[in-house]
Order: sequence, then structure tokens, then C-alpha cells
Amino acid sequence: MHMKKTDDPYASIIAQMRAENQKVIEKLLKTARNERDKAAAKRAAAEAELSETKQNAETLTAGLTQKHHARLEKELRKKVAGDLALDLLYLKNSVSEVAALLDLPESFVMGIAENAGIVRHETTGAGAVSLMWLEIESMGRSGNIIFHWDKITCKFWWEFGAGDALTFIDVPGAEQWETATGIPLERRDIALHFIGKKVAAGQGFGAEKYRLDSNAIVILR
Amino acid sequence: MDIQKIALDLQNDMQAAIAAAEKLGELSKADTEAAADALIEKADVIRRCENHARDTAEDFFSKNSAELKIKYREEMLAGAAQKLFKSGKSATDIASILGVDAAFLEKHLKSGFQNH
Repeated sequence: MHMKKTDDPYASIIAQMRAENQKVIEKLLKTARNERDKAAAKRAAAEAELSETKQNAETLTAGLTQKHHARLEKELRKKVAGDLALDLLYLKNSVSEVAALLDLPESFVMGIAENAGIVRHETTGAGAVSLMWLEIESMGRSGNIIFHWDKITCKFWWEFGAGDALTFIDVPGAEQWETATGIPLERRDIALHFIGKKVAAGQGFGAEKYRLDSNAIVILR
Repeated sequence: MDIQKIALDLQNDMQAAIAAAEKLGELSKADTEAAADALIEKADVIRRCENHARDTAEDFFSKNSAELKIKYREEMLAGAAQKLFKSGKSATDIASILGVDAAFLEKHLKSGFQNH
């Protein structure tokens, strides 16, 4: 009897320990099984995705080809539009006319013009926008500056100078300007400075290295 | 009551559980790695498709660039010619504005001019 009395409390403690031990084991295994199940599900999903991708590879490639085709077509059309816009500007159409004819934003056409060296001039207050550009014809030591102001085109003779005067460009004096060029007199200075800067910059001596005389633009070394 | 046996039993139970959990952990690790491999392979398949698609499209445009440029330019000019025609411009005006010749206008505005 004495022994039994002593055993009973141990039996109870042992039973409690076993139960707690079992709980810990179950919790441990449950967590491990959950993690395993999650990993297995992820694997199954990833393998299913891979399989689906492989099966649809042809369709996927076709779709991507179409996407690249559309991108390249858009790029090429933009390039063609830019080239055509420039050609139409050289045919003396205004930026807004070209933009409207080709369904292009005016800013795009203006960007094309500027990249080609065409300069936009806006008359202060009047809101009138003009385009200026020039071409240089060379016949050895002389030639022509072909100056474009919107729909007007005029030619100015140039020839190499001596000393500090690298090039002389003959231009009509103020009195003959309008008759000779068709460009309003108040725009003469704008036109001459544009030509001077462009030609000076093209000679590689800096865009400011020129002088305006009464009948000539002198490009300086 | 054999206390030593009970302690050993408890220890054995716990060790068995730990071994089982470790085994599950190894399986989880293998599954996780397999999932990652599958996703990498999937990305590889997509990349190959993407490369093939890009090469195919670029090859096409590279080979047909000249013809396509002419075609797109002609389409744009034809559209511009139609606009000018609808605004009442003459064939001479249109040719001058767009820098095109009579054959181009005849091709693209033939029916329009006939009805004009």
C-alpha cells in the first residue's frame, strides 16, 4: 500500500509528460507536413506552368513575333514619315501643312526640321512662324549660298577671302533687299545673322565669327 | 514502474518524430528546388520564344526594308494626295505640293479625277 501511494503521483506525472510529449510531436509533424504540402503544391504548380508554357510555345512565339513586327513596323513608318516630312518641307510646305497632310504632330515635324538644320523663326507678337534653311553650292573657291525662307528661295554668291576674312558672301544692301530677295526688309537682319552663323559654324571657326557689312557677310577666322 | 524505460520511450518517440520531420523537411527542400528549376526552365522557354520572335521579325524587316519604305511612303503620299484632292486642289497643285508625278496621281486618284 505504501508503494502504491508513492507510485500514483509518478504515474500521473508520467502520463502528463507522455501527453505533452505527444502534443509536441504532433505539432512538430503537423508543421513539417504543412510545409511539405506547401512545397509540393508549389512544385506541382510550377511544373504545370512549365508544361503549359512548353505546350503553348508556338502560340507564344507567334504572339511575340506579331508584337515585334508591330514595333518594327511602327519604327519604320515613323522613319519614313520623318523622311517624307522633310522632303515636303524642302518643297516649301509649312510645318503645319506637312503635319496636317501626313497626320503627324507639329512638334514631330518641327523636330525633323530642326534635326536637318532648318531653323524656326517666330515674329514677336505677330505669331507668324517662318522656316529658314540654307544649302551651300561649291565650285572650288566660290559658289552659291541658297537661302530658303518659307516659300522664298534666293541665291547669294560666296567666295574665299584673304587674311582674317575667310569667306565673303555677297548680299543685297538694304535698299535693294526686298526687290532682290522678296523677303521683307525688317527680316533682313534675321536672315543675314542666320546665314552668318550657319556658314561660320560650318567652317569650324565658331558660330559667332562673322561680320555684317553693308553688302556682304564676312566669315572670319 | 521502470522509470528508465519510460524515459527511453519518451526519448525514442521524440527522436522518431524528429527523424520524420527531418525527412519531411528534405522532401520539402527537394520540392522547392524542383519548383525553382521548373520556373527557371519556364523562363528559359519564354526567353527562347522571345528571341526567336524578335529574330524572325527583325529578319523580315531587314530583308524587306527597302520595299516596305517605298510602300509606307506611297501610302502616306496617297493619303496626303486624297486630302488635297478633297480640299479642291488641282492635279498640278497636288503634284507640286507633294513632289509626285502624274503617274502617281493617276494611280491613287484616278477614280476621283474621273468623277471630278
